[in-house]
Order: sequence, then C-alpha cells, then structure tokens
Amino acid sequence: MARDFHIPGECLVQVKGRSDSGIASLSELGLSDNPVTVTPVFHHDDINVDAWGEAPAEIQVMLAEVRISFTLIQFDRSVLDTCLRLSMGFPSAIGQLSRAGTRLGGNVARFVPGNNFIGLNFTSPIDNKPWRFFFAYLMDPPATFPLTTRKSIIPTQWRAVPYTTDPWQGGVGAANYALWDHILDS
Amino acid sequence: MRDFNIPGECLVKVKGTGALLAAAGLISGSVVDGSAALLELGLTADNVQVSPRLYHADIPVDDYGPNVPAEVLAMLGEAFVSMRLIHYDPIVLDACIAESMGGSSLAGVGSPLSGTSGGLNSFTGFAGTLAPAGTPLMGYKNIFASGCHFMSLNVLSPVLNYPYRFPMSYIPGDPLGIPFGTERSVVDVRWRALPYDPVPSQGLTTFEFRSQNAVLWDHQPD
Repeated sequence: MARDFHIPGECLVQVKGRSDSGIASLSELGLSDNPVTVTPVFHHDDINVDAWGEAPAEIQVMLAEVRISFTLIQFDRSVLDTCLRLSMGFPSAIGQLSRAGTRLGGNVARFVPGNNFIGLNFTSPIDNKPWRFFFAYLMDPPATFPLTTRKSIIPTQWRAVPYTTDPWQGGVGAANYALWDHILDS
Repeated sequence: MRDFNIPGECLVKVKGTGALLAAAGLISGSVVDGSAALLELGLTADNVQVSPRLYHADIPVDDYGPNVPAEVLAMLGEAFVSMRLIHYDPIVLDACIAESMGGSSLAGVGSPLSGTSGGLNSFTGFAGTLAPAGTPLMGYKNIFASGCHFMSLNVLSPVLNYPYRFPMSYIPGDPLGIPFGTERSVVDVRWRALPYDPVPSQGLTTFEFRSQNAVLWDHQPD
C-alpha cells in the first residue's frame, strides 16, 4: 500500500450491549469534539539471564489491552447512561450499584444477558477503516459531567480487554484472539 | 540443547474413580470397578510448582570419619505439586478433596444429571464426610480400581510439550486454602505424589509393595 495521509473522517461512536439492555441493537452514542484516541497497551515480560547482565536476553509477549478516550459533545444521554450501567455491572437503574464482585463478562458469550461488556465501534467514513473493540467498558474515571449553562462536553475513558469464558481454548490459549478488528457491529 | 523453557498454559487434569466418577456424572450409586474419569480441574493464577523430595540414607564407615558417608543409598522419594487454582471446576475440586479424605460416601447423592438438591450439580454432593479412621487410600488396589482413592494428577504443557503425570497423588490438606469473599476465589492446593508400582507387576499375581520400577512421575498424561 502506498504512503499517504490518513484521514479517518467524521468519527461516530456506536455501541452495542447485551440483548436485554437499552443498547441491544447497535446504537449511536455520539460525536466527539476532538480526536478519539486509541492506545494499545502491550504487556511484555523480560527474561533476564545472569550471563546477559542487566538487559533482557529475550522478551515474552503477555497479551495486550486497549485504552480508548474521547470527549462527547453531541451525544445520546440515554445511551451513555446504559453504558454507565453496564460498566457498573448493570444494576436496575442508573445511579445504583450492583453487588460487590459482579463480573462484567459473567462467563457468557458476547451480548448474552449476564455479559456486561460493550461492543465499542468507531466509524471512519473517509479512510474507510472503522474500529471495533469487542469487550469494552468505561473505566475509572468513566466520565466527567459538567453541570453548566453551556453545552456539556463529557470526557470518557474506556478499556478494551481480551475477555474469554475459557482461557485454555483447547490448549492454544490466546493464540489468534481478536482484541479488535475493522468490521463494525451490525 | 540449551534454551529458555516455557511450558505454556498449564491445565491441571485429574483422573480417578469414586467421587471423580460421580463428579463426571458417570454413576449415581456403586462404582464400576476399573473405570475412571479424566476431568479438568482447572487453570492456575501463576505457575504450578513441582518439588521432588528425594530421600537418601548415609552408610558411615569408621575409616571415613564421623561426618562423610562412604556410600549413600537412594531411599525413594515423593513429590509435592503446588498450585493456585483460579479458573477451576469446583465440583471436581470437591471430588478430589473427598477422595483424599478416604472417599466420600455417595449415599444421598441424587442423579448425576439432575440439578436438584443433593445432585451432583450442587455442592452438597460432596459434603466433607470423613472416612473412618485408618482407611487406606490405596487399599491394596491398583490406581483406578474401585476402592483406591489415589488420583492421577496431570499438568499439561502445550508449548514445551513436556507434561507431567503423577500417577498416585492425593491432597494432604496442608496447605489447602479455599477463600470465601466477593473477589474470585484463588484456591491454594498442594498435592502429594507417591511412588506407584502397578499390580500385577514383576509377574506377581497378588499385591506386594515393591519399589523397583515404581513411578513417581512420567511425561505421558492420561
């Protein structure tokens, strides 16, 4: 592929959650007032050998996760509330808590009731390279709500993790596990 | 050849009869002699630690003085396998503990396929009942024979392809820690593996304790 400038375009944030939630179908969360930042976080372990001094002789890959942040300026408040509820373990109403220790994945598949992870999607209409994070949630601090006469601009912080119901995966572990891809949820 | 040794994702599996057969849903009452169930116990929070303990006896000779033996005798060994289970089957763990306690009475256990109270899908299936004092774990029987409560412990090694099997193992109960709380339970378990000599062996037709060719561990998982 030849070199070029890359301009993703107008980035609409869309989310999809468990089938008994308010975002059971792909829902528009909103537009951001500045770039959406996607930051992969790689985990590596050094292997040190006394004969190799202080520098590692080898590195082991220990999977990865992704941090995503964006600031909502034109957004659907009810969709954001649902995202907050899911990230809190899906209590009955916004502002409530779920019991301590509630699992976000719940040992069930994506979008099944009990799985509170959110499918986080970003459109890319010019570059035509959308992003989809399969298992995301609002991490601390999830959002900051300015209460003002001016328009609300809400910064949000997300985390996408390689959730699985079976870390063994028949003996191959996380091999070929998709942390993200470029096909939007439907 | 030298290299870094990375065993890989270590799945712990156990094979046995009695309570393990019941945990597998294969019986609801009497045990079928000679049959055994190979079950997944679980994945660990960090590495599985295999610690062989080898025993020796010194043969002192006056000519060698009081401190240094002239010969050393190998006096068998045992092994301890420590693990912290985090993604595990609690019913299989209960069954392993029950077998290590001398075999749990299955009386009152419901249908293995039912989820009713007392059934094997509930935790009341293995309630911590003790066997009578003095109950032998082996009982002069081969592994996987009805009445033998030892289990075969397997630790897989899919990357290095160097699995461990301890054919005659049990949980001695120290340490055994099962935390209860709102966080995920990480269970500390230490297994004890003893030498295993199958019967019949060496052409014998009756059971006899013989240490020659006894296996403490091998690398052929069940």
